[in-house]
Amino acid sequence: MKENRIDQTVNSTLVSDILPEHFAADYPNLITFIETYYNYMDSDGQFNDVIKDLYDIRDIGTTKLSYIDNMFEEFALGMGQEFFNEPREVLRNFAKFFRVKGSLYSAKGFFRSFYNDTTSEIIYPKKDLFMVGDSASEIGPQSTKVIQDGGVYQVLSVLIKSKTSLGEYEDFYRKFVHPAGFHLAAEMQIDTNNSVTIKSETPTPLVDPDLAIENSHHFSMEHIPLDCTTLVPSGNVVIIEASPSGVFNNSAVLELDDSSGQLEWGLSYDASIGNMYGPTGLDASLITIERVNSTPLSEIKSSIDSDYYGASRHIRNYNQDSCDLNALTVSNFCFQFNAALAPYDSVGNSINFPAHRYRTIKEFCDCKPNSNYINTKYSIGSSLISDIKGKTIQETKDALI
Amino acid sequence: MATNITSTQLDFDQIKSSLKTYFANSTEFSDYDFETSGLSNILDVLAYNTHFNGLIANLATNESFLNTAQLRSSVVSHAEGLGYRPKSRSASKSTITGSIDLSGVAGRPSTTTLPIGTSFSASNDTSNHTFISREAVTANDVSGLYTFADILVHEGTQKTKTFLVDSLSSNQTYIIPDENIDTSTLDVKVFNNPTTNAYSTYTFLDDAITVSAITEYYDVKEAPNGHYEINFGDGVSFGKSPPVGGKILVTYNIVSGPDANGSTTFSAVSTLAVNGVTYNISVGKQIASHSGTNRQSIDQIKKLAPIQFSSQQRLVTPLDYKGMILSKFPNATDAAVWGGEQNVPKDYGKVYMSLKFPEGTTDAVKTSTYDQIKTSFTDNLSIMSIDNVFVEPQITYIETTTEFYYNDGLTSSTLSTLETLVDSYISTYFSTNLGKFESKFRRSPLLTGIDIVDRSILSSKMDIKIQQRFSPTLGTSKSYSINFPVAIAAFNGTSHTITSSGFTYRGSSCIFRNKLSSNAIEIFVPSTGTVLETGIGSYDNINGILILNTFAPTTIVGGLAEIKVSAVPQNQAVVSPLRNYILTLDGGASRSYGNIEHTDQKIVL
Repeated sequence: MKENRIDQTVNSTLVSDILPEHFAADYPNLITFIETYYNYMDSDGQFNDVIKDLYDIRDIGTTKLSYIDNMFEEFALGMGQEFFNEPREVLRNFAKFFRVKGSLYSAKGFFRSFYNDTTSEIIYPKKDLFMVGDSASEIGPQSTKVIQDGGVYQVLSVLIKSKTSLGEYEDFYRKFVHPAGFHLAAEMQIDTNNSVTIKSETPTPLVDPDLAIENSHHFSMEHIPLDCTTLVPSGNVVIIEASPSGVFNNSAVLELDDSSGQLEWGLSYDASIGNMYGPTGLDASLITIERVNSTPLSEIKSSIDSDYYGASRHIRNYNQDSCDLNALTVSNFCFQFNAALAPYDSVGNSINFPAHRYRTIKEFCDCKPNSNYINTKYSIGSSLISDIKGKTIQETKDALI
Repeated sequence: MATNITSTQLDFDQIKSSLKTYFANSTEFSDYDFETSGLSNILDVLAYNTHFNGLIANLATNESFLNTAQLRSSVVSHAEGLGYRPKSRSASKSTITGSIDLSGVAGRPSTTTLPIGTSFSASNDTSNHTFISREAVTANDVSGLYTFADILVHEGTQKTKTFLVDSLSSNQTYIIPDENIDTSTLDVKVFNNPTTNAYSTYTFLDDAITVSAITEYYDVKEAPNGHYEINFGDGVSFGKSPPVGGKILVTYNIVSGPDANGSTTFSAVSTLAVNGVTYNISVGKQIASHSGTNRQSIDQIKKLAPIQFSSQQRLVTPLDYKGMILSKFPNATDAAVWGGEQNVPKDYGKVYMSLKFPEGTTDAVKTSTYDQIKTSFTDNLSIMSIDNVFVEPQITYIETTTEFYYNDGLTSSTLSTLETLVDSYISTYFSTNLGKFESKFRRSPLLTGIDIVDRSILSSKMDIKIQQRFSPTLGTSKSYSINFPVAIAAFNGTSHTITSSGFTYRGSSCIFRNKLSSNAIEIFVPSTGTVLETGIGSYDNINGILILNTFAPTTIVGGLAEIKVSAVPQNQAVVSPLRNYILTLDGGASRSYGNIEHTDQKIVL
């Protein structure tokens, strides 16, 4: 009952008050009879119940669910309440949903509210089109761009990656979201047992440790201009863009400029041990997000164990063969800049470090603004990476297998 | 209209029975006999009271929702809550040319103007109607002849209603006591006092770009009793309020709606005065009046209000376009809209629209409607860079061959009469259920209906074909592509899936058909049973496309303009047309056959 409403009941106690007093003495049974009748009227399922319903029959929050479908007819083009887990909430938001139809917001909202699916991706294939004159449209095997095909790959196209099949949602999607005139393409995401996910927290049967972490994983990248006060927490994963020329290519955010052949990556320098860095001649193609994250940890471990430094996989253990995996964290990996001008120390001062100086990621991020070599960090946020934050390599490896 | 919400059991006898049961179960009255006359009478009264209140509750509940409401006032009110304004009647319109002849008149002006409100009369099959010009037209003197071109005339009778603004209410409404007005003809003038001649013309709210405290607008909507009420702003933040003591002069047209459509033979009722001399107006070129409509029905409002709500004044999905067309352009009786990505061939960046107009609508009217849709709506409300394309509806004919069995002992009708009844039922079924976009043909309900056309009919079956027509260029070898709306049956070795109507080719009266056990098309001479030519084309049964590569008929049999191409659909139970296809019956190619069902009878002595 609403706060400001008088309870709508045909109150049987009023019967004796309304009838003449002598009725109570002369015809008590009649009063009881009429009171019983009104009790009947107020009983469940009788018409007075329906009258009570009228008070809030159009109140989405309180009306009976049996009336909700009528409002779905009005506000939601006839979708039934059984389609939704939270029909009242969905109904409240339909006007907002209609107002943004055709947008990314509406597409995501469609899958979220209609199919309880929060993982569907809406992709604009036009971003992957090969464009003449566009510096990002490279020619060659490394090119990731696609020539317009008049279907999926064109400007007027939307690609949906969803766990729900197109046949299941196409009619509704076209009715509620899809802008007429645009190509609608769909990919169905299928989960298989062969996928290795980081979610495993309890020991599971051993799988091939060399199995690369799922390469379809998607990353969100955060482009953060560095300042000198920025510190990267221990265990964080950071990719540094560095250039010996001081000219940074912001469009190639994941590139390491190795034109000088002077950049290397390996384990941090330990002055007490000496010049134990890895080989020169960086293969820049290795230093990409995909490469880093698909590098099996077993390979890293293998490199560490063998003090390997002669090939293109630049993993090196400064403690030679006695690396303790339980103590080694991701942040122990570093980059070396082998410029003529010595790099800065951990607080940005130019000091007489040996020319060949490996620097930890933390050191890079601790640099001063006048550094010519560091200007940007790219942190990689994903379930994959976030789960190894703060973990030692050994812990991460254990989690994986 | 069916009531969807059953609020309570409304059967009187059941209510009374339920009451008896309730009393009998109570401790006080468990031993009462409710069948005695006194108690029974009291129960009758109480049951009636319950029944009456139940009816009211049921009515109130049903009227609470758009889809269950039955009263027009309730439906209009719910639609208003969705931001939908039901269309009033609209006037039948025409464009005519008029002239006056002043040749030989001295001192005639170089130009003269035919004023707004010039009256004409015209008639259609049923009655005479008055048409009024809606805009002034100026003509030049050409050797004394003044020709007023493209005079837009609307059917109707102009009326005026005057209201005085009193101080009793801050938000007065002004009722125009007529259901038959065309609200698009409203002209609202507001005077500061009843004696002044100075006035402000208020504009319709829908035309207002911004609304402030000084915006002079009016709003008109359907009142609960079906009349129309005019509202003004509050004078504070949402539009200017007419001044207290002022006068409101409302001019509007009472129109006949569709009853005036098809009016021709226009003649001027008014005369035109030039230099103090009146001249008769001659009417020249004219087109039959069109586009008059009734105000939207309850069913139309129920259908269109939710669609318009979902569009939110945007044109994104095909449904948005369809809702806009049907709500704003009532002269289009149906519309089909699809994105270019669903067109054949695909045409991205386009939205295709196909409108169905009443029989007899001229091409000029159709073009005018297309232009209005484009300039008034799609150019402004659709996604930028998305263009629209108008295409004509494609008619797909259905040929039915019906065979029914009947018991001649159950009817006095002859076989011929029964066959006529069945044919008539099929024709009615098609006109009732098909002939619209997206209307599907379903054989099962049609056969169910045939079975009850007459009680003697025991069972029925039906074969169907779909038929497209095309007009070939006679005497010239050309290629043709004929699209069917659904998949065609695959070829077989016993019957021809594709057949055509007759045409003349190489001096013979021929048809074309697919070869048995092949999708190749051959030209066949029925009179001689010979194949005249093979390999003139082929058909793709999955996509429903027939290709004729070198087809050069010289005449079409019967002097017709089109050749009929009939095909057996892959699924005879359901024909679901897409896009702009409309299914209708080819009555001439359909036929019903009756058979007496003979049963073995045994005589038991």
